[in-house]
Amino acid sequence: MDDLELLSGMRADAPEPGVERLKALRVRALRRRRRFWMAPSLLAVAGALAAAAVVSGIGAPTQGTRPIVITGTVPMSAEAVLRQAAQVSERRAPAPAPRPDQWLYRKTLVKQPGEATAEVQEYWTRYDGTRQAVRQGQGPLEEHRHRPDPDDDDLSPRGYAARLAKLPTDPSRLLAHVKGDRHWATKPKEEAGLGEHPDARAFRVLSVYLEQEVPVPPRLRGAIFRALAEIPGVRVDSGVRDAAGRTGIGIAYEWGAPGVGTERDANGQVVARSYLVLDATTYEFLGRRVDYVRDHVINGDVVFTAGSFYASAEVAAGVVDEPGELPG
Amino acid sequence: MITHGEPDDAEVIDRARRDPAAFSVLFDRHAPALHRYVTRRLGDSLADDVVAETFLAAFRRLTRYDTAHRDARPWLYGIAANLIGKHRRAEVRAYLALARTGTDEVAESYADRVEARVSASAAHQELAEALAVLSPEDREVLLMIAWADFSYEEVARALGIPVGTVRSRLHRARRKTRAALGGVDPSAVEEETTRG
Repeated sequence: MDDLELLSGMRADAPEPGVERLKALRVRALRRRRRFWMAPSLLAVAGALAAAAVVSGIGAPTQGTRPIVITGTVPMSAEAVLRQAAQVSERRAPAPAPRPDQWLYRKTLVKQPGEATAEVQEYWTRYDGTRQAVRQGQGPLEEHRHRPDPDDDDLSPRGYAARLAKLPTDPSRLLAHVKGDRHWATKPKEEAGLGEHPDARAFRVLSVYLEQEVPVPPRLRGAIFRALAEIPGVRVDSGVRDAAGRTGIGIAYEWGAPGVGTERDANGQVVARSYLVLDATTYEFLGRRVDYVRDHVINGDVVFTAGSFYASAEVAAGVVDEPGELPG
Repeated sequence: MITHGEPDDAEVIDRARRDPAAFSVLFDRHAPALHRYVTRRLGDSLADDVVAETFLAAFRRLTRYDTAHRDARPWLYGIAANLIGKHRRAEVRAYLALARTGTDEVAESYADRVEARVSASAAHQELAEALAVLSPEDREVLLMIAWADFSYEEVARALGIPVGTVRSRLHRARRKTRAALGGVDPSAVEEETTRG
């Protein structure tokens, strides 16, 4: 018997928890259903983007099917649009930082694929990150107290602003930084990002920066667009609609990798195209959109039918003094 | 382990991003074994806390999961490893106590209260001595392999390190466990273990 086998025998009689204990633990472990800081758009889109790997390898029966044509969207020169977006962004005045006891208000529409109407979600997040209030539709205002865990990616708005302020504003240096960035956390031990292509990671992280509720400093915002222009496979379409029906430009990453970008099936055919939707004039973030151009199949079930779409829309934002208050 | 037709972890996570209720599947699938692993590391009293925190943290990080990995175990155990690390002193203290007194307070924590003190074999005392002096990084690798039955690749994913680093850490750790056992006659070890 060698040392490893001996070690395997040590405390080998440790039991699994009993039924009752497990039941109580289950309630405890699953109590927080909603990720605190996450905007709904990000939550759903990451899911949609990540489905590429799910589709491939299961033999999704999409061979030979014709994709749904999304009418109204027209490909544009990504480089020209992103350069213009950078210039417009760099001319903007920086937004003043809120006080720690003020609240960031954000009103979002979320339309799930297969549902006819969008859901209204309102968030009030205290700038110092100690509290958050949420209202879904006409429901009650629900308040949460929260102590951000320093080990997590959960940053307060203030913490996020500080993180953004440290990023390089030179586009090439920014791009190099986000390629090596394991997304938010400084020491993400549990996530090596193995398998994610640096370009895919760069696109994912830059997208997350663009949809933050804390204002992105103008120079950084410009650098983000210039960095996006340097990523091969970034595509820009005009005529992409958000959940509020507003038309904007859509930024997509065509060279999908598992977890990010355009989803393809096992045959390399596009299943869904995911956009970051920006205002065509101000280049402000409007929302997200995922168009399913072919049936999205998981384990033989059609989860999203061709022609359906996910969309979100940022319809209001501002700084207020109390949760429940609306910006004037 | 996963039967045909049942969604694998990556699919469950993909669904849970849209429908948070789906996340409970991951708990039902992995919590019992994870709980046992944490119990083995830290004892019965801390296991509930660590397991609950692991799943809460995992849920908050759902969007970051790379669904190219079908099995979420390495991810979950990696999160748990960070939380276990917060109790490092208690963990090491228990190994030292076991090494010096032969009494394993971790084993006692889950053994029936009315049972007599749990006494360890000589070999396990030697191993406990080695576990106490290992660097936290080397210990993590060694115990994921010995107690969680992870492959090198799984440990690499769990800890976010290259497979080569897993090998070198395991090699270093095993040099110490072997040295600790050096004084023990292999046949005596057999006997001690079977006598248990």
